[in-house]
Amino acid sequence: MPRTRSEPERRPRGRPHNSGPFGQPTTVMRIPVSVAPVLRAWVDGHKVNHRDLDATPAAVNPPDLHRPLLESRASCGFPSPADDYAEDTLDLNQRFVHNPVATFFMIAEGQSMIEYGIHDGDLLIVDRSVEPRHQSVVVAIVENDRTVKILDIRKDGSVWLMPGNSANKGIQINEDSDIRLWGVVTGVAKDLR
Amino acid sequence: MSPKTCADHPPIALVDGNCFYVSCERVFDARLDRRAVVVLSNNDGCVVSRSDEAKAAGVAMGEPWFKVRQRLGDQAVTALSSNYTLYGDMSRRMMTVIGQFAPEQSIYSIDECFLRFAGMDRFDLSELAHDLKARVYQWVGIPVCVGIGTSHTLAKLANRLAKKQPQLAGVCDLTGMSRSDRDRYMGSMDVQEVWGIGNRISARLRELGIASVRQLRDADTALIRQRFGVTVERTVRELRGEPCLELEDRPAPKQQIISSRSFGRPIDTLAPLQEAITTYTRIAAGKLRDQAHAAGQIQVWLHTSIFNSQAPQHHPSVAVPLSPATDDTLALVGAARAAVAVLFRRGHRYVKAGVMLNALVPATAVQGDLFPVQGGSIRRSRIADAMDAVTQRFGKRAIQLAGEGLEPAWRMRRDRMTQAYTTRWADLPKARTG
Repeated sequence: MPRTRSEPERRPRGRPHNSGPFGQPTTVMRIPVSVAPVLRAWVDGHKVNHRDLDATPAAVNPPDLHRPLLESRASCGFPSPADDYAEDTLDLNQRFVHNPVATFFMIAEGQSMIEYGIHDGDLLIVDRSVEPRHQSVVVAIVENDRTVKILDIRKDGSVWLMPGNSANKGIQINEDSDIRLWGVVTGVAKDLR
Repeated sequence: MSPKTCADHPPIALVDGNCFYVSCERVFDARLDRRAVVVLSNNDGCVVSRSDEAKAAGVAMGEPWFKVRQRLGDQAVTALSSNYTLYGDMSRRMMTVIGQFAPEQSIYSIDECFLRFAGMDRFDLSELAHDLKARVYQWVGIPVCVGIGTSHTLAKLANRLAKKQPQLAGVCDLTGMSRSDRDRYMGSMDVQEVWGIGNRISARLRELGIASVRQLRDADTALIRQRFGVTVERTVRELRGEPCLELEDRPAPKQQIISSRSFGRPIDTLAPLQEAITTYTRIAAGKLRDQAHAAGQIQVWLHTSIFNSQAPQHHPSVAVPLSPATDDTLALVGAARAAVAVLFRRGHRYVKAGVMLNALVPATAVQGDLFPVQGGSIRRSRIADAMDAVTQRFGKRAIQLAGEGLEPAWRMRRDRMTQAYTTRWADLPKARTG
């Protein structure tokens, strides 16, 4: 019989939606008996404890992921006729990192290399595989510290490390000095924000 | 060793980093140079890497740190916690450079790999090995030793010689040596230095009058097979220059498990890459469980062909922490597949991929991390719920799994860990401009 007067809305009975062991809709499936134990174990791993504050699924959110400086966009959605002609989005790595296995990044500290365009906090691209030449900007280990210097190969053949700031003295490198060249600075990246 | 041409058995080189973990740290901290330095494993504080100076000071491999401190004092030796992320990245770099010197490379552990010089008859391998050593040191900063022989066993033996005999300067090419030199070297080495010959077998060999490597090499194979089994017999044949033991038959290294292969043909789409990585991860997980370990980190990497310089190069890698440490294939595969999806880039033809399980801890001592990064692999039992309730009420230290052990030794000691110099923006090394 149709309702003739307004009734208070019926309270829904039964288990609330998505409150079962999996926290999402389920389906019934026929599987070969031989794979049942493996699948049962796998399915069990998807059970959700509703007291979890964030029930993130098995997709991993690893904090250690490194990303290239400029991430090329993955294509998703429908394939487009343009896909065959699409070029890779431009990646700063291709321009500034020529030998990835030998390239390391460092952060410049201090203002003494301003004349060479290097400011405090700039990202230095340091390549260990490049042969240092006269006037190369290098990272050198001086008294166990990493420093950024200019390599000065003089006419008499002596090799000096010159500071960016002309107020400081240069250091000569000879056989007994405890100085090592760590790598050549091949690029600098600045964040202007 | 009967003379064999290169064509019969192409020479094999074993290249490994010298005190690898310590060497990685030294690249970024020059104060560690020429000092006694050790790196400790994170789960039990035992020495897993020691510098030559530490070795000379009497520190033993696997010795617990507190014992070293007791014996030698706090100031004598610098101790660092394992920085797996850094070592994994430096290893990847080192292996890529080493791989440039031969058509085939098999990565055996985080710091050891084999090269196979097929079709390189014209090369002076000794000179090549010196070039390789110089390049790895220049480009990555890690000192390596190279041992060359016509079998894996010989390559490993040559590598030990390269380390022990200073006049060899870190390179030992058994294939380029005169027969009398080879005999002399093998005569001077104890049989226990051969790969696969441990304490017990060497004791029994000595009873038979076989004490030096040379004597083992020249022993009667039928007798060896009868007394020691087919593996030792094959080891003898390998000492004679005949490769007959597969790398898969060797015991896996204890500190990390690697599964890495070149593909049959280049892959440039994601799905087959995922399949390959799934297979490698499954294999590594099996070895992990055989060793009764769980892994706290999985590293995944891809390589485009280094020989085709025209094609765009891509050698990405990522290290995924696993919290808590796991030996569950499904969890490891899930992490590896997610990692590959992030590394993959369209337009590149990948020829090789690899998986490394790192930060190994005994499977029984997995730390009960109550807020694990992955939700899927821990089955939330009622015990876990009860633990949560206790922790919420009384704080994190109130309750722990009995399997964690009550000694502080089990706690992951990472107080002496250095920064992730090459994989985290916030941890980049600084360089003074002054």
